[in-house]
Amino acid sequence: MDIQELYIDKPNWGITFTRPTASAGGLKLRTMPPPDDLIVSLHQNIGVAAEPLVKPGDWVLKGEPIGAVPHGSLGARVHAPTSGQVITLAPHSVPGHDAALCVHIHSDHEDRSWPGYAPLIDPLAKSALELQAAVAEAGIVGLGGAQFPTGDKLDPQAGIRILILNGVECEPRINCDDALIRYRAEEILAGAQSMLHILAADDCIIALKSDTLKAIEQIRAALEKLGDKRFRLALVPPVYPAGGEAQLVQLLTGQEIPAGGLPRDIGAVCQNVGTAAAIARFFTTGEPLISRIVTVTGSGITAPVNIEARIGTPLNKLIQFADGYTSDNTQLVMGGPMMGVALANDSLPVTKASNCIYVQAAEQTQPPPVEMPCIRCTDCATVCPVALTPQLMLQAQRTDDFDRLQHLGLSDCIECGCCDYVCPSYIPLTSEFTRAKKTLHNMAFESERAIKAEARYNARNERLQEQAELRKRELDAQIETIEMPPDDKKDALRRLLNRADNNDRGNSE
Amino acid sequence: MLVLAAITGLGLLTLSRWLQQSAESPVEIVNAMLPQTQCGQCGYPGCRPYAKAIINDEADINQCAPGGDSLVTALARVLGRSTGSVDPAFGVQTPLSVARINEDACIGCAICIAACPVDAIVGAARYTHTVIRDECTGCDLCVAPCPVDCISIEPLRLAS
Repeated sequence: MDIQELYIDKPNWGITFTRPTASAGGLKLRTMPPPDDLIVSLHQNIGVAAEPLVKPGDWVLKGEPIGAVPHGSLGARVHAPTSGQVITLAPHSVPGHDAALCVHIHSDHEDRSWPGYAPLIDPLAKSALELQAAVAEAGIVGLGGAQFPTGDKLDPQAGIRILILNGVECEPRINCDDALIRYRAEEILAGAQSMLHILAADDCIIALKSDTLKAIEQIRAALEKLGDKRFRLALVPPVYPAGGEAQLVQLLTGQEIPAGGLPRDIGAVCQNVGTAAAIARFFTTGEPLISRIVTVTGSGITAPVNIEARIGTPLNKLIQFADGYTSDNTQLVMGGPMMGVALANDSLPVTKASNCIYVQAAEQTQPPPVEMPCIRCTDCATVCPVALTPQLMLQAQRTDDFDRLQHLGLSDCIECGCCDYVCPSYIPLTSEFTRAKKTLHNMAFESERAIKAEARYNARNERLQEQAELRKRELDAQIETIEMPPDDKKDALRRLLNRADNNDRGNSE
Repeated sequence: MLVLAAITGLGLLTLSRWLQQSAESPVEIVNAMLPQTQCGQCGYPGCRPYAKAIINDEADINQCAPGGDSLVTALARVLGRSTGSVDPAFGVQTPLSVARINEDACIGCAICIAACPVDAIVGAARYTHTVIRDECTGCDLCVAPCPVDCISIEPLRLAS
């Protein structure tokens, strides 16, 4: 069967890294057994944290649900990555959260599975809603890093026409999706078929980077074997950040997602290849999302490798499995060199968002360069994948001109770091914009509160005024009904009152 | 002569269009910039009275403690006055906070309910009162009147 292939033009934005990325050759994939202790965060998704289903002292089996989504909220279920005993249920620092409630499980080294999930014999024969519920049950979230609950994203009623499988791992050094494609291409396609069924769509594009030759070979072979005419293959030029959701959708469909919108606004859904594979695994084996592939690489790692690790594995154990550090003085980053976040230490655990641990030996890093003034070269605007003008945004940010920042499209910034990379004055643009976004978010929050407070204040004033007027009317009505005493009585009354008044004054002096 | 008439006519047209565009009164504009805490620290019984006072030149722009220095700067920019920081005589800016009633200690006297400028306290005479966190502006006006001192102010953590 001839696989339909899309030719994608090189975009005029972004950065083409000249050093060969790891995925050109590709690191090997090894599976790591569960360590002695696992710290499983209950907040590994966009939305609210899961509520614990277990307490300290409980014994759990591999794949057993330990966290449930609060009713009516957006969230994802959490499952035990191995069998063992729950030691504590306490806040713990995890990548992305200073203090997330975590379930600390001590492994019993038996790795026994929970029998509650039976494999789905023929998933495509089930209804879309049943499959959607199954995806949510398995706690599957977007494994590209955003962790959006997949059960909510795969909406049969959203009118989706095209499914895009994102295998365009564009950040240099990250290799986990490439490894998945090289080793488990068929699983990815099986998961994609289930996704198409749920979405009631019949158009799927699998996007890979054009320089990942081994991965392309595997996907082509898997597509041939599957023989499903709905699938097309797109080879995307290895430009960073072509793998960003909005960027990829635009490259493949030619349509731009409206500002502040989502791919579903133009009838598309974009899912990471890892998410598809996780769905296939749950349907065929009954194993929910309890592990993921993490790239462990960098000058500080002795043997860089892709590791399939259980969620909750402490990073130091993960790094040990990659033969440890090359140096005593290292900097850990979760993610890649462009968008990664520095980690305080290596006792933090693997979460569903952990795509890569990038470790640099301090001897190999340079001190951060000194920031110099902006020379208006506009290299930043040239590389911006969202067509923003970082130069003007920086000016607005530094003069606290939040209105202008909004107008310039700050909320569309994907914080990819391209502008940082090209700036000849070494201005840390991305971190300025991240800060500005936070400030704007807080300002919007305060503004909302202010509007509500003003409305309540006005309502209260109106109420008090109404009450005062009502009292006055009642009082007036009462006075009307009082019979006035005849004149002589009035005089006597007046004299009495004057005397009482004078006595009062006498007393007070 | 004709040219002069044309220029005047054009000028008047522009002016009227500008006035139509800024249909919002100056008091509205200033009020919209104030934090709506309704705390009275500025010396006025609420934010709108303070806004009115600013426009009438009865009050300075640096009297709002909850608004902080950034409000002074913003007001200076809009009103064309010189900027500065909040006058410490009118208070200091505190982080966003809400009131909390210790329900075990509450005696249900309803004095705090009357004190709240935004009706953020729920309760009735001889029933336990409680603060609606979403509506509370942290203005502090309920704390002093409480006869059993059961109201505390806590910081509100903004989501990041």
